[in-house]
Amino acid sequence: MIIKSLKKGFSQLWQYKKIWVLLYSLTFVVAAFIAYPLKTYLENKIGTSLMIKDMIKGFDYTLYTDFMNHYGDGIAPIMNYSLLLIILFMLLFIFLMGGILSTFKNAPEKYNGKSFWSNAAHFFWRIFRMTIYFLFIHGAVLGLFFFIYLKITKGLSPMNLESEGIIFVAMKIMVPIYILFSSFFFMWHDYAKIHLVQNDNKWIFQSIIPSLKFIIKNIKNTWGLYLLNVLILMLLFIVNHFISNSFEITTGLSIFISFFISQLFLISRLGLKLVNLSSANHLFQENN
Amino acid sequence: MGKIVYTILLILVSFWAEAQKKRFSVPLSPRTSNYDIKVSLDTEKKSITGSQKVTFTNPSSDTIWTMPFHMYYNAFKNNLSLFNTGYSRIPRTISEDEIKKGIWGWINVDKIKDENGNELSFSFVQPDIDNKDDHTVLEVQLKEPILPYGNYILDMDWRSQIPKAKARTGYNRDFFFMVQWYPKLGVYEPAGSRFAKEGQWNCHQYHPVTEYFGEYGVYQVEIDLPVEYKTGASGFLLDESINGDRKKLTYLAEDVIDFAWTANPGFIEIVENWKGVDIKLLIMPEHVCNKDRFLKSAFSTLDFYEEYIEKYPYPSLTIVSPPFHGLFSGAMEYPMLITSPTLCDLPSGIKTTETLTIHELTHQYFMQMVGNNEQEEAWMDEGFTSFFEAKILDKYYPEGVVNFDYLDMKVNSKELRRGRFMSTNNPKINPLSDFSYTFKHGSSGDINYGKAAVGLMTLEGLVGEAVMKDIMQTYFARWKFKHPCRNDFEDVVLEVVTEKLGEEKAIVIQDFLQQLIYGTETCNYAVEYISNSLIGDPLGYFDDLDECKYPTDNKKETYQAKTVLFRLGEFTLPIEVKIIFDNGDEIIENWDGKARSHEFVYTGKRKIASVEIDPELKNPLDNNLIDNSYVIEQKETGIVRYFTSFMTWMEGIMVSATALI
Ligand SMILES: [Zn+2]
Repeated sequence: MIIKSLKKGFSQLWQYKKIWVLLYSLTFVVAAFIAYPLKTYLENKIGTSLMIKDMIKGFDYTLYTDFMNHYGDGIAPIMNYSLLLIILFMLLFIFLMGGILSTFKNAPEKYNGKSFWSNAAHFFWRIFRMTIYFLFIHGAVLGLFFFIYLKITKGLSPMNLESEGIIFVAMKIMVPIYILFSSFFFMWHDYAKIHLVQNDNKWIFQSIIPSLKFIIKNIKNTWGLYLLNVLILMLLFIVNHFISNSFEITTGLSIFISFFISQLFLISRLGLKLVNLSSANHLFQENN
Repeated sequence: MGKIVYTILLILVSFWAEAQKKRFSVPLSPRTSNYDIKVSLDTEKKSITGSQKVTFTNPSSDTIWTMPFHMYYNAFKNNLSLFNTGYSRIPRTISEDEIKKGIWGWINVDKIKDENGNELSFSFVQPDIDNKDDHTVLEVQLKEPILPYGNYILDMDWRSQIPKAKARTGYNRDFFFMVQWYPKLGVYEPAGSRFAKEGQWNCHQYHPVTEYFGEYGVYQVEIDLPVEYKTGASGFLLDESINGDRKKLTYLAEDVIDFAWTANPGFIEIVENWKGVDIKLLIMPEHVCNKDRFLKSAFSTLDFYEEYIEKYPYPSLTIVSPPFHGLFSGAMEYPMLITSPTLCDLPSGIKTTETLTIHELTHQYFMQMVGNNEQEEAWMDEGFTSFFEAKILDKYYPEGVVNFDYLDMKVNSKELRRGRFMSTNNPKINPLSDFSYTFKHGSSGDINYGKAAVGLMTLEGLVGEAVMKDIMQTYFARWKFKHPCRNDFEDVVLEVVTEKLGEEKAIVIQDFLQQLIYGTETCNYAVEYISNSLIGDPLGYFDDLDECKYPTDNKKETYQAKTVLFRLGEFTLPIEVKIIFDNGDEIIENWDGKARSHEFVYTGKRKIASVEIDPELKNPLDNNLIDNSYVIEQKETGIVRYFTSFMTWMEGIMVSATALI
């Protein structure tokens, strides 16, 4: 069942590659809009300095400190503007979510732009509200883990701890547990959205509660599939880590290659995101 | 039976002989204040009972009637001590639990007798700040005076309650870190030494921001404590005896300004040898993973000084790596004993363990062998140690002190020191010449460490590495086992510079030191612009109104190539300027750096391609190195790398954030 759903995920990803392209283009454009002012600012403020040539070697501490001390005032507005654009991006992504899930649900022969956009608009507010609810849930889970961590490590206080070992050991044990535990809530969030789109419920609680029941009823399949998706994503991260560390950046060409690889990595991440949603959608449909 | 006795005797004799070998046959210092101390540590009550015989030799022709003693533990006696209130008289936060349980640290002298058995009276005095609740200086009234150049002996009985994990000292659980723990005699400054106009005791109260000052002497310290405790101390072990569940250890430290010791049953003892010096590392089992980092950095430092100044003269060095619950000991320096905390889980690219070991070990030279007054002129050891710390780290750890693969981050120690100082919010807060105990508002670290170290780096840039080494060697040779002040250092600098580089250079250096030590100004030179303008043919009417000169086709390609430099800071020093022309020519120009602006102009076929102030980075005090250069045609690949990296991060953040949708 899990494998079947996963396969379906990959096939739908390919079938609706236009969505994939759309997501990537959106990410690329917004990121370019964010990064461009920084480039202009650097060019204006320090563009004539010979120290620019040190930047090619990577992070230069002296350049960084002198830059922040003398021209750093211009960075905060750029960062604020970036934050604004990221929020805008998130809203757009929420908007697209309805279209994406409807496409997976209806499974048209080919990507249908018209129905994609109309469904996106149709579900926007409900998915938006659901995002807010789940933000609280994810925050509560994280807060709970943080609280337990502070309890175990006695507030990280050297006065109360025998040795620092517990600080790191607790971290090493709790992070995987957190990932495992919180993944359940992220998965729940996914199925709640799928449930919402499948049933076109008016109230989001009509989806949040039943989707939880569904997950628990099919826990082996749902969580199994979700963890498999997470595993593939982690593999992707590992592969990217090795590739990006395997060459040095010294020339314009290597900057280009490195940038190209990072874009491939990003495209793959977005692809896996779609695979995750599509496969979960398939699992949901098959079990209802 | 006889054989066993014989063997034991043999062991004892050889131990004794071994210990005797470690004594100096010729004293290194004047041995002005000598201590014979006996203490017993109560690990349950966290207290000490002690007695000490202090032998003082009057270094002056004065007749002295009083003797002041530092009673450092009394800084933790109440919430209104100078240490606990600073200058504001508002008590600093002390843990509720300790207040409720009445946990305070103190030291109390019960009885003082002179050599003739006279019982002497004593009282607390406040030489710096009039705060009667501060009991950190005890003044003893003598019945018979200390005669010029004469010896004087005192016997004191005292007790103390060890503070719980206070600044640098105290206990937590069963870790004891015993520093500034006994009544310590002030330093007598004869007229003409340091800032003394007439003979005077120098014995400040315990100020919150500064460290210590002590007189050279020999310490023989017998410590009685439970047998299971592992110990380390200044000096070397002279004698050891076990009696039931207690043991007595006798340490001898010669020609030192202080004595520190530590005890903890949990320590692992690692002993190595560096060219005849016993290196003892006291470390917790959970930190043993970093043992090589301690030893390698200690060995490198000792190697460095053997070559740069002179070989470490003492028979032993103890490095204490405190447990996590003993972090209150900080990273500190005491004669022949240093502390340097470590954590095994920190990434190997961060060289904190090495930095602290090298820094504290450097203090053996500056503050221990060259005994500056840390309370008045902390920069004369902290600035020096920070300067050398960077030198040693960058020599032995070329990979940098912060090193990550990501973005090829590699920061070396000199860069880090400069950057940290330049990033302080108020680099003009006070001059180095202010007495350190008056430093306020967090300026101590920025000025005593940062400004002084970067200033010394700049001095080295101005005189060159070889002359700097001469300066340090001369200063050390002249002032070892004495108490110099800044004037003495300045004298040595000017003397060496005059001799090696001439009087003209000495004037420049004098001006530099004046600004560095007594001023608060900052330094910044900048290249404002480059212009390459075509010099046109003469056009128009000149002598003859009948003849107008018109543009012709055979133009001469002659340019006025010019660059304008600005002085944006108040700190002035001579600077070198490298000018590169479009035909590849390179010239170095000199500017005395005094005027607010300056220009270099060239007429000819060449155009200026780039200008760089201080191309060899001799002046790290310049607070903006970005504006030190100007280039006409920029290669933008550097900016493109940052742009693409930043864009990639943003994409990554955005995609990660969609997990929340
Ligand atoms: Zn220091």
